[in-house]
Amino acid sequence: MNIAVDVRGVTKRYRPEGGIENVSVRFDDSGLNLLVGPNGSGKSTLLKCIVGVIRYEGEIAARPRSIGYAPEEYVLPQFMSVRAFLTSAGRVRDVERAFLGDRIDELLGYFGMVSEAHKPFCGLSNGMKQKVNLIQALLNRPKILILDEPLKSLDEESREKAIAIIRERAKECLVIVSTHFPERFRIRNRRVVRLENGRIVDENDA
Amino acid sequence: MKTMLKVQLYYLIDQTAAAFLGLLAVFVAAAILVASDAGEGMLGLDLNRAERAFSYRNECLVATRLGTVLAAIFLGMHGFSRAARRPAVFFVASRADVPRFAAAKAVAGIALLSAFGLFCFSFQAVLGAWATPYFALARSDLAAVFDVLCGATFFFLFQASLTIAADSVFAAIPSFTLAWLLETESGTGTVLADVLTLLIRHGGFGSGTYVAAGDGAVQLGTIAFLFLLTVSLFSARDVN
Repeated sequence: MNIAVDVRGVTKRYRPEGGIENVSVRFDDSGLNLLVGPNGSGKSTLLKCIVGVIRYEGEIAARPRSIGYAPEEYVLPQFMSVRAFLTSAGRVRDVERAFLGDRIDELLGYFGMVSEAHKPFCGLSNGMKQKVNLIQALLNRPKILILDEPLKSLDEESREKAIAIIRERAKECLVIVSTHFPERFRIRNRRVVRLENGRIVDENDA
Repeated sequence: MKTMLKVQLYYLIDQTAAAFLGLLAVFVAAAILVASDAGEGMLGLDLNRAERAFSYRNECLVATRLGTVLAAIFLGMHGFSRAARRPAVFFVASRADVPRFAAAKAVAGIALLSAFGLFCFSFQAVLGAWATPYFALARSDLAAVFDVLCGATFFFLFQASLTIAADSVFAAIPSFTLAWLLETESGTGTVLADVLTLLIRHGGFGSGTYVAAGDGAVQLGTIAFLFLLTVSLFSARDVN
């Protein structure tokens, strides 16, 4: 296996406290990696550093750059329809137009959201919005999939579907998931990275 | 860029913005209606046409300018707050894309502001032509609304920069103060008035014709500088 993401001595501090301190960790180019730890341990911060949406000290080498990212906190445009949003997200990320429509249909169908495709976000529940958040991350079949608390707000059936698609993607690409429920991801060859107070305290393959 | 602009417009017009801008448009329209004295009827308004037209133009200009500047300050705060910067995670693949995202947001804000200003102006023109005998659209009216939009663009970008830099509701205070000083000081001939109108487009219908103070090139340069400042500040901040 090749190294897809190499995090070397990365530090990100938030005022008055929080962030990560001198974190070094490597991720192979396929497989499931779970980031676990208590609130404020630095899981989300580490993910944001890898995605590259925040500034940090240290170095992160990521190959390839094709990353799908579903953040824990997000804002969706209230009056835009689900389909219009996903189409825009796909176009901005240069997903081929011919492929984009089919891919959106496929993912909306998978998550049982076909009837919501033309509804604006202001009429959707938090669970529906979370499904759109996951779908936008999967749109361009990224080589690196980064999901921050992907099961948040989902009902049991949707959780199972989300876990199934994560399991499927982990066979082909690198998947990093931040979660408080590692026991939900019963997948062989998974790796668990535990963070506490902004530092990695344990790594194991389980 | 077209897709990004569309997305930014959708993000700018949420329920809060729709309610605020809608209410503001109603207030400005009401002020224009009152300024027209349309209730007096065509016959009553036929006397003193020139004076009535002058008064109508001036009052409409002030109402449109106040409304558009308020909309500009609101959009500058609302569109560039910490929460409003969060959608970038969906539309940037790396930090190198952030300036493009920020520029699209600023352009979308200016477009929305222009639509608001043009609505106010259209209401003034249609009401004046339809309900009064004294008003006929003139080239100076177009110059006035263009200047109102330039002034509002200054306040939008000024407020956007302050919001990104300070991340606080108090960041609106300097903009309100500046707008108030500009409205009260312009035309007084003081040093403060000269400095303000040097940077911000501001005019009025003095002695029948429309006159704008300051140098257009300097004012345009100020807007360009604020645009770049907004994009730079946005790009320097974390997207989270």
